[in-house]
Amino acid sequence: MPLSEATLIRLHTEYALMAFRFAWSVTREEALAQDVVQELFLRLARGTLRVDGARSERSLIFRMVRNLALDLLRRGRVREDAASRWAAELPEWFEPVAGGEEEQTQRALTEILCLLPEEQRSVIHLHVWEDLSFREIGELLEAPTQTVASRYRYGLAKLREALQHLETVLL
Amino acid sequence: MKEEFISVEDSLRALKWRAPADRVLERSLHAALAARREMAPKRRALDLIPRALRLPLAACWTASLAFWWLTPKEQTSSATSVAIHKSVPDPASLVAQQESTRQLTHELLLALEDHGRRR
Repeated sequence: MPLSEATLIRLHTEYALMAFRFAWSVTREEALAQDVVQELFLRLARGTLRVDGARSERSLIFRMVRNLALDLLRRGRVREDAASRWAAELPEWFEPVAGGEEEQTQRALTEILCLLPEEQRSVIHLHVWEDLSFREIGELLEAPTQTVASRYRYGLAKLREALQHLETVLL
Repeated sequence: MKEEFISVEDSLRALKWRAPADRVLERSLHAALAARREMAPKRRALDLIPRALRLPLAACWTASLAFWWLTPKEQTSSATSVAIHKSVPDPASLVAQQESTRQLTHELLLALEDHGRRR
């Protein structure tokens, strides 16, 4: 049974932007993130993806987004370790800030986030920008809470290193 | 959370995600609504039947089709009336037919007698 029009509009209003940001974080490409969001809502409209009966609609949407994004990446054969590519062409994830130290910090963080393994980047994204607990992230990534916490710590350690390096350069 | 990570977390939280152009998300909604409208008419007829009744109804329809196919065809009403008229003759016509037969037999016997006398 396809979703009612009202439900589809409600889901889109509540989750489209959040889905887009997470898809962009996973894929690192804006165009792919757009494809993921389009595919997500097409599948919800056709009833091939369903949210009814979910304990947490939001977590389920995040899981769907991640699966669709990883499928797209696999089909497009985008290499996770294509460091040279991402160094030259950073995703414009964040609102630009006025130059100087702030801009350099943003660039350094973006660069390291971009080069993190997808699992670590997803955990950081969901915890920092979507306020999900490690337990909730563990449920949606189908990973133990401890593993999620470890991925978060490893990711933050790399970001911290980058910031420390930047500080020494600036000093 | 260790204090050393807190400053990194704060730096991350200070970054504001760039919003996509309005048309990007609008396009995905319009595509989804169009897909939904395409889906709806195909399923409407089936949706009228409660889910629990679909299987029994399908079984009944299949059984009735099988009976219809396997049962010999019945006679039409005109064929039946012809058969009735043939098998149950009218008594008056039977009497008339009997009288006519008796008359013809009598005439035949007279003719035979006449023929014997001539020889």
